[in-house]
Amino acid sequence: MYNLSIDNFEGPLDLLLDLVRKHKIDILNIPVGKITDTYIEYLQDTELQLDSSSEFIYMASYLIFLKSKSLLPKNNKEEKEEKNFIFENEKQNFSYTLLRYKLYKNLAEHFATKNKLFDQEFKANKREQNLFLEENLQGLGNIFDLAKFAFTPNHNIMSDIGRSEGEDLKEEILYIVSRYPDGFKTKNIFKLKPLSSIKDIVAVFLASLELSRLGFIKLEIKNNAIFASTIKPLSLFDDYVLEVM
Amino acid sequence: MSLDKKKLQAAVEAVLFVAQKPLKASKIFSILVEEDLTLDNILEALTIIKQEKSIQSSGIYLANIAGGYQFRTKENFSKYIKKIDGTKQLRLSKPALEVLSIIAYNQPVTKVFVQEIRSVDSSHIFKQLLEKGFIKIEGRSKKIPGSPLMYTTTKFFLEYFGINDLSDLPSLKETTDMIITGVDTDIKMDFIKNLKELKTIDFSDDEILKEHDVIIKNLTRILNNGKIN
Repeated sequence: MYNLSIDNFEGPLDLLLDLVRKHKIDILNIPVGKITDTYIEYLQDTELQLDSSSEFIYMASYLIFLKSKSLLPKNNKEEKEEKNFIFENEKQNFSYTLLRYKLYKNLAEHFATKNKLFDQEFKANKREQNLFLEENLQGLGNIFDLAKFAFTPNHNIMSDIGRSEGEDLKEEILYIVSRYPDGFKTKNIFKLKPLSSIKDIVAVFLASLELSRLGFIKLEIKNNAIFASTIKPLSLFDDYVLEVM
Repeated sequence: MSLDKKKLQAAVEAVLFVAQKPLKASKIFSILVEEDLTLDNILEALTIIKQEKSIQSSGIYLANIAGGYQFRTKENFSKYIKKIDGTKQLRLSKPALEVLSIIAYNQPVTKVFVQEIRSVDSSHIFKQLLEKGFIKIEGRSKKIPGSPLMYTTTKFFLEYFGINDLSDLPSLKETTDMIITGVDTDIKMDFIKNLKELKTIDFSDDEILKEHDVIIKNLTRILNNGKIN
């Protein structure tokens, strides 16, 4: 008897691989009838949770479909040959899909071992909390992507900006201005300053828009990223301008 | 050079000690702006530091990670270090590793590509991996209709697994050995290439299956010659 739970399997292919192994089935020549029956038997003996089992049921229906194909009566020799050809193709496609999954499963195990070994070493400093944002942003120059990214529910951006939007924006602009007294040319706006939070990202984005509106920089979108160039010396920028904002 | 060899070595060590991320030699070079200093001087210093730290009485060593250099503790001291607060490492689940390995070997990939290989919805795993910083969005696919987002692994991924660069990943060839043996390397790579183009399991059109015939034939031919494990 098996310990019955589909929770132990990552998906229908994982379950199928396990069945193939347990029943010593040749993965390249899978008896469709047998595997279908075994698979469905397994599902019947298991309490299925609807949300996690749709993929398992989908696979079951596929297997039945495949089995039915092998059983359909053929009228003449020609039709028989054609149907056989298609069935064999489909069956092999199924085998190879299993095989492909097995390959990546092996790779994942390999990574796990690597991880275990590496787990024994430590570096001096803890990782900066939002270090990955910087990397993520390189592919996110598109305004729509940015908006989608920024407004993902768990980033909670609304509450962050809501609090002190105006102050942040002024600070942000002053920071950029003080950092680049000589201006800059086609610089990715997200590289104008080190970013450590979503708030930083939005602030630097809004600051760029504002500087562009005031005629200090020119923005352009290239290769899916936003670049800024100064067109008026930033030294002309002073608190006065901010007061007007 | 205003820094002599010993001082340069000390400076490089100090910079590496504080750095959050692995540092490239060129980065160290740009930090230690000194007259007459060359990149070769830095590389030389790094080699010496590496040698000096490799002796038994040192608890740390200089590792090559994500294309840069970083100090790490030697593995035999992990049992002590784990008692210090804040040294707990991130752990990845089995499915997360599966998704990560599919991405690592095929990048850039779409979510659907990964889902097809695993035959199971992987959205929440993508979200986890994105949040933990293992993968990032590389942009949008120009070829696939609907231009879906493409994902790649990050530098942090390399750091986490202690890999210097992507070519250092355990080769697919080696891993294929676990599945098929007895054929040449070229054939193995051919096998992987064909596997990549494999169609997903679904209630397919007979016509599509006929078109798919070449890939199936290729795979069958390869597998007939080799031994399946």
